[in-house]
Amino acid sequence: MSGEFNSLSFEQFVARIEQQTDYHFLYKKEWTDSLSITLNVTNEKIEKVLDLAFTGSDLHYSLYENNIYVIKGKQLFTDLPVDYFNEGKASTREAFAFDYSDYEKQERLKKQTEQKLIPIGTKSNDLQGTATLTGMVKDIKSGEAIIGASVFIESPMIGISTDQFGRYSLTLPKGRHEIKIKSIGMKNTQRQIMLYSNGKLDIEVEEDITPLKEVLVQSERDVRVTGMQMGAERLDIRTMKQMPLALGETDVMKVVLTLPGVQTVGEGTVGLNVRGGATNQNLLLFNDAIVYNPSHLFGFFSTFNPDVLKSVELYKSGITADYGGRLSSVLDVQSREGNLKKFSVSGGISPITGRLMIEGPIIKERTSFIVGVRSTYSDWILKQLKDPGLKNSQASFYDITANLTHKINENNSLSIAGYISQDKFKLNSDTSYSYSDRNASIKWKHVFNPKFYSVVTGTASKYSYSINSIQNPINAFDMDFSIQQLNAKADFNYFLNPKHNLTGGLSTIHYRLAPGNFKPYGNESLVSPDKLQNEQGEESAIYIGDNYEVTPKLSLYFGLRYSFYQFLGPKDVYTYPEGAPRQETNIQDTVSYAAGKPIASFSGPEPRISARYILSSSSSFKVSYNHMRQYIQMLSNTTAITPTDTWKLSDQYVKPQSGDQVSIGYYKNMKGNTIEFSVETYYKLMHNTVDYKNGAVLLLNHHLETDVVNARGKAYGVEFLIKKSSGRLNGWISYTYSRSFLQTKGAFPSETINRGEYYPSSYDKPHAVNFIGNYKLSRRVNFSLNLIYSTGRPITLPIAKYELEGTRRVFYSDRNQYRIPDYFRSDVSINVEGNHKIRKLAHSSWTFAVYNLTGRKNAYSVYFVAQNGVINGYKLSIFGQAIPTITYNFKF
Amino acid sequence: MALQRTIKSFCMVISLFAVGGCLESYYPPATNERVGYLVVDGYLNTTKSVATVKLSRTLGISIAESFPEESNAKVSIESDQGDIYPLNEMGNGIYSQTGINAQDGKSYQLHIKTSDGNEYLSKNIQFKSSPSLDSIIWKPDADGITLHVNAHDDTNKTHYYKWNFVETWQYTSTFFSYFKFVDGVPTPRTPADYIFNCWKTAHEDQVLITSTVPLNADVVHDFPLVTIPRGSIKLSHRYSILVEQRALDDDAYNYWSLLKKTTENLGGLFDPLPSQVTGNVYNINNSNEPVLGYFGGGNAQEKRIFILFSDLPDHLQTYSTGLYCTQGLVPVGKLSANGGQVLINAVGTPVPTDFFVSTPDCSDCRVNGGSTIKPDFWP
Repeated sequence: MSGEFNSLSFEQFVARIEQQTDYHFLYKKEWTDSLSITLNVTNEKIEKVLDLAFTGSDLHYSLYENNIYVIKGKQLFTDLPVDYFNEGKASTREAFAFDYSDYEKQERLKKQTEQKLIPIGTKSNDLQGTATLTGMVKDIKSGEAIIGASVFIESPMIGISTDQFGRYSLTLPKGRHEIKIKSIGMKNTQRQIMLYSNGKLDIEVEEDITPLKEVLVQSERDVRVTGMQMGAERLDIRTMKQMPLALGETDVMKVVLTLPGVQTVGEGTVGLNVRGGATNQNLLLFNDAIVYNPSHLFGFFSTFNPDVLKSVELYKSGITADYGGRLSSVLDVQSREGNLKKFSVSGGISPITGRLMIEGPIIKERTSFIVGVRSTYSDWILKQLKDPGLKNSQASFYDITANLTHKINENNSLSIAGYISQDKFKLNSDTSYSYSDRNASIKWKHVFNPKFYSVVTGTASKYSYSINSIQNPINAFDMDFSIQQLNAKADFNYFLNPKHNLTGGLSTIHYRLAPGNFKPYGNESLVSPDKLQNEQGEESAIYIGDNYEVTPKLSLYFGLRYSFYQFLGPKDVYTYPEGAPRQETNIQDTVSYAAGKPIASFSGPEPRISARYILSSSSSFKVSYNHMRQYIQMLSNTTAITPTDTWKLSDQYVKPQSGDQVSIGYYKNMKGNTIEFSVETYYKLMHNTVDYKNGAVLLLNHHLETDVVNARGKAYGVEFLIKKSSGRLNGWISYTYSRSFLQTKGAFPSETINRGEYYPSSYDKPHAVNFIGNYKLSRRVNFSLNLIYSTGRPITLPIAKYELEGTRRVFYSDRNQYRIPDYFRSDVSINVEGNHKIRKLAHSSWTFAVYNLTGRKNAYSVYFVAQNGVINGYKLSIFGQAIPTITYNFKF
Repeated sequence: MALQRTIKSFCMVISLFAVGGCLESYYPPATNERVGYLVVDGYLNTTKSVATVKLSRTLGISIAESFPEESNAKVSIESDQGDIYPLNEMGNGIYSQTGINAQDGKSYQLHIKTSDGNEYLSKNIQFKSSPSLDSIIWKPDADGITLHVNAHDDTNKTHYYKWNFVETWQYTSTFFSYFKFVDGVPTPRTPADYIFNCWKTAHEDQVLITSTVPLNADVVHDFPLVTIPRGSIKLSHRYSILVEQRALDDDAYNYWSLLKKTTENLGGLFDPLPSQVTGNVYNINNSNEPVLGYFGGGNAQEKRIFILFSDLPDHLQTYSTGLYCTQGLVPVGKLSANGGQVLINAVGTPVPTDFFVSTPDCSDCRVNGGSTIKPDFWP
């Protein structure tokens, strides 16, 4: 129809149309009397004319036969949903703005996309053979890649989980499929495809907003059973945010500690003990770069700002060949990518810390950034206090995380991440401690073709600490320690065919360690300076792996990593005579090595094998074997007031550690995947782990080889986990029985501990029970409870005193023969969300939490001090009382 | 103590965050158990041909009793060539024998049979000769004096040195008591009764060892033995130190250095980890039974020096005693022999009417732990 309408009333407009066409209008006068229509159309369809006429009004229309129904507010549907009969022809009419609610609109859009048949590739009638479907899974809101989402079809069962870029690649028989997509914290969705030939399908999924929807603690549900990986836990930041908080902060490390098989020596110590391994045996990665010390302020907080985190993955067994360098586990922490679509700010305020996060696009849909800053104002509080002891004390920390991602084009993307954490504390003007962890990484991803891509990563990490004492100007000193590493690696992924997914890569790490520089502090100090020689090392590796799906039920993974390490000069190395104990008094000679000259070299293969067999649609059985090698070790004195640690590169005396682990697991999902049950058992052997000789001195020791011996370790255990991931009540309960032993049997008495018998390692804690529970009182209020119990850790006790040459001496028990009291803690928290109106300036929430509700005095450090010839024992507990906190969080 | 202060402020900072108390004494039940391990402190001094072995037992850490002495044991020293020297029990857990003619080239071991039927042997030891002790010197500084020892071995064989010392000093009480009560009656003291001059002894409270292995020559230069702070009563009149020097073999040196490390410095940042130290004596039927202490031997060297108050530089010629001491004048009739009063001197001649009196800590030097018997070596 055509025509020129000039400031017509609706009645006039209707009359003109009814004149020109066969259409008949049905409407209410009181809805339309305010309308004035000015239009100029030629040869337009009636729909177009009406669209234009109703622009800016809240009127909608529906065409049915020759009638036009005009309705206010809602649209009347006269069509079945798009492509209801799968005729393959898309509707030409676009949906109208829908004034009911954004939520419903999204639901409708979602439904449409889920049900629409999407043709992939060039259409043809030849549906013989297979074709490859690739693409990305992204967050619909932020455009951020979703890692670890399962993309699969059910018959036949073919699936894969997305890689660290959210990419997937599936080779499927040609024809019609329903692709299902499942991921933590995201709504499940599916796509209908018609696969003609190789093609691409990017999938946008919606965040599962906790307060609105059911899921609180959701793991990769089916993945636990159907996935290849065993001994792994993937935690989403949304899960972690549900847990009760100490001091009002979501803490990654504390959440990880509630997982079965993960323990810590004490509240104040750095790091985790995974399956009976030492704390230095965990590969802790933040955006692919190593973090050496993940704790702030005596372990009160972890150094990862919860606002910037995306996910944490912990691998306890079944570690694939692309990871290497540590024996026990891999903890892979990833920060979020900035929102590609809009700016947003969020933050929180608790009694001790404040944090702020800003993210947004730089170039829309292509480049985005995210920056998170967190700091404490405890220093300011201390300054306000009258007590001179506190006034002169200091305790502060901050951390900054930044991430920039850029999509160069379809096949290339780049991300740059940086991280700084800094801690400083000083006690009554006496001794001040400061430490800092900083790292940076750059990552370039290149897609050669839909089946083949590569990732090139460069990282740099540095950890340093310094201890400074000015208590007595004569003895004032400053001691510095630092370790840094540069790492370059390239990883390749090739989807060979539906049955084989090949991975491979190379990596090299350069270490530089400054183990101690002791300097006088101030003019009056008479302390003589002492500097330990720097250590250098180079660790390289090459690996290859194949994920082989033998049958839909049986999958295998074969991986082989070959690592090569050199301990490099410049360094002066002490030599000791053959057949004599290595001790200071036996130093025979000093040999100087020039810069870059290899002093010692080690290399070896590291096979990794795993298998999964699906027993039924809801249960599976997995087995894995890992061999790992480690060329750097940490030595930690946990019996001092403030635990300190030092690192040591492997050299000709302190041999590289290696370990073997066999692990078997059974996984069963019940009640429609809402309840997960798993039991995993493992046996581990560790070779050349570090152990201390009696009376070892760890700091400022010029010849650590005289105080450290290589030990054998063995560990075994069984882990039970029951997890309910949805419903009003959700959470998990786990029980772990695990043992960890060391054996130090040298050729000389001084190199033998406990007569060469196996003895419990410092982190041998046989029983551990964790309960993490959430109960949703309403959509806005939820209640959480944590209960954490574990056996106390082993300790060497002074058990007797005696007199020798007229002086009192103390006799210690066999090493680690006794235990400190058991650890128990209970925390509760209540989380109250603001209202759920979508359109408002800021979303906020309040968290009320009590940490250590029962006020049990769990030990932070147990130590004995020789004071005037008498040995006094002390137990230091930090969280000695119930600690209530209130936190306010906001986001806009 | 610095460490204590650090701990205290550590707790204060923590309590700021955690609202909780923080540090408590920690003595797990195991520290109260009665574990009576045998302690052997034995040395055969070939210079004097004397063997002395002290046997005692350990006590639980928090048990406040004196250390049990081990009596009625059969103790002997035996050579690898069949010589047997039984030791005589001298009381207080001490067993001793003189006239033992130990020879180079033979090795010796200690053999103990305790009254509970257990039998112990030490490892075989060969005596190591100690070179002569060259000198004991003292050096003043602003805060006091430090005594040092010097020694050397031209044959380059000694390497490991250990010193024990006994220090003796003369001191006085503030007031001179001329009278004492005899059956409640003030009676003049005779010189043998005087309680003004005392001599007190003490021994080292640390393991004093050194190694010359890192040096080019087997020379000990100014090894510090003990520091005496300015104003110490030790230097108030005359001070003497007798230093005994022993040469150690590898095994003995390792034992003493480990003992020193693990019992003298603990709990600090740069301090060693606690650990078990057992010596060279073992139960022949149960090698896992811990036996503490060490049996050694050799030709120990001795030297003694004296330091007079007047030898000290001017700034150190000071000592503070008795500033708080006062005397009271009490009429004869009101004196009380049981009132803790010490008679200083009498007023009134020929018959005393009143007495100056004071407290024991001001007028009886024995209160401070010394003895009024002058040692034989005292000039």
